[in-house]
Amino acid sequence: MSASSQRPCSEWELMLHGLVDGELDAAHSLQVESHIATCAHCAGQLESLQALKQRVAQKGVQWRTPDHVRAQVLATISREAAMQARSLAGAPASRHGDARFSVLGFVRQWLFVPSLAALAASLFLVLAPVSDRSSIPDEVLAGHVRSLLVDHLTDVATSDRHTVKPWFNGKIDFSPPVVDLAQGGFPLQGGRVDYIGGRVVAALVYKRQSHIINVFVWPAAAGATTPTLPTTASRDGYNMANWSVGGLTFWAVSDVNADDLTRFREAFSSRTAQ
Amino acid sequence: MAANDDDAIAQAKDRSRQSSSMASASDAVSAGRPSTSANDQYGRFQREIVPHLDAAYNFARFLSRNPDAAQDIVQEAFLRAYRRFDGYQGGDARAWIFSIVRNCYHNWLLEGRRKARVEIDVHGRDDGGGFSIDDVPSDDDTPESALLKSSEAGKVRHVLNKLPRSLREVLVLRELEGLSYRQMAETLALPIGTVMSRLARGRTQFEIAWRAEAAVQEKQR
Repeated sequence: MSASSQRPCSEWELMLHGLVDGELDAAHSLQVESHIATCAHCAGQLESLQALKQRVAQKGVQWRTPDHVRAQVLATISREAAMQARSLAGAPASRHGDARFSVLGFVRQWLFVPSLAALAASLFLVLAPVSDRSSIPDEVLAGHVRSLLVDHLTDVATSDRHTVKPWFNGKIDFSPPVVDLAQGGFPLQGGRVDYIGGRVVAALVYKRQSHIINVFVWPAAAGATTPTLPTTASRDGYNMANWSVGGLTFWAVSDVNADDLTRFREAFSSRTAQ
Repeated sequence: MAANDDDAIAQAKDRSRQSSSMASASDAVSAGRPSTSANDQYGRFQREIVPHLDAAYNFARFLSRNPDAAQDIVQEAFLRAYRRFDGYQGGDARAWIFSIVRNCYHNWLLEGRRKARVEIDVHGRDDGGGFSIDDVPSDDDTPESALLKSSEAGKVRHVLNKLPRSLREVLVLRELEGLSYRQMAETLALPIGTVMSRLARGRTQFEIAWRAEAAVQEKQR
């Protein structure tokens, strides 16, 4: 049982692969094709290669990115972008370029430390608890800004709450109340999933004139059974309102004025309390 | 929550059907942001790299054979890609993000190996080995479960996951992601000739494993 009897045309093998992959130039394609015309073995090989390609590439083999993974990756990127923007803005205006350069230089030095993997791993361990401690209001605000920056305000864009509510089924493990507040001057724009406080949350999008209001909804932490008192706060020029009802925590954030946001909160929570 | 769904206000709904022009809102946001260059980079990254998120996840999932690991790997890869993005000169975006995914996968392996050594400190293998953990199928994507293999696509995943990583990755990049030989060479940092011979070997091994799998299933019937 010699190797040549097992694979009579081994010198053609890579060429056959090149042919099915469309990687051969015209001259070589012709060469292979004229060989195949006279060689039953290689013709059979070519056929089984094509069958294999089809089998592997069929629908359902490729893994789909789960929604929560997509949301988490996008949230990480925008948080990183916000941090970079903030650190650049924090440098004194006159020495803006210098400060930026020295920061980059510092980062570059460390990037070339040979034990990059170990460093990255330890950095991750050090940073992970810190990011856990980053406050919910910060993350809510980042989620709002991100939704406006990324041109990804809504995954489901409709003013019909009967479309928005079922859309969340299967994407998140709770059912957020979707109310229509158009009469109060806050028309519904749609919904999407977002990522806040280490979990996938529902985001409902409303409008007040030309201003966008994001409402983030997720189940209140176990143990926090009593509804917290509604609070309204201002942060970086944005207004935020927080309340909880029916075991769910709500955060509304927008650049509308505080009075409008308070009215929005009252309208929203009175409709959900019914 | 069901109580909130009982009233439909058709007239309000009609009134609320406005164009969802975002111009004013995003202008307000960018005016509040001092660094337009950071926004440019962000926008460019969104346009050029984020569209490859699905491909990156698929690659990470087949490399690690584990959904949690794939999530961590893709997350880390995109963060790194973003931090390095100003150094990216606009070559092949997919080859670029795939090579970062691959590096993150290697770090995940190292991390696992380090943990394994700390936790059970039994395998006195030297660090240069590099095959032990890599070739042990993880428990998530390679169970011998009927569910996983109930469809032909599930069987294909199963057989792919049984191949050694070096062959699995060329098959995934070529057949599932449609990379050219050149893009594969760039991703894997290998000469094209090596890519070609690995691909040929990968297909042969796949065919053998596929037939073996079919024979086993035939016997079980």
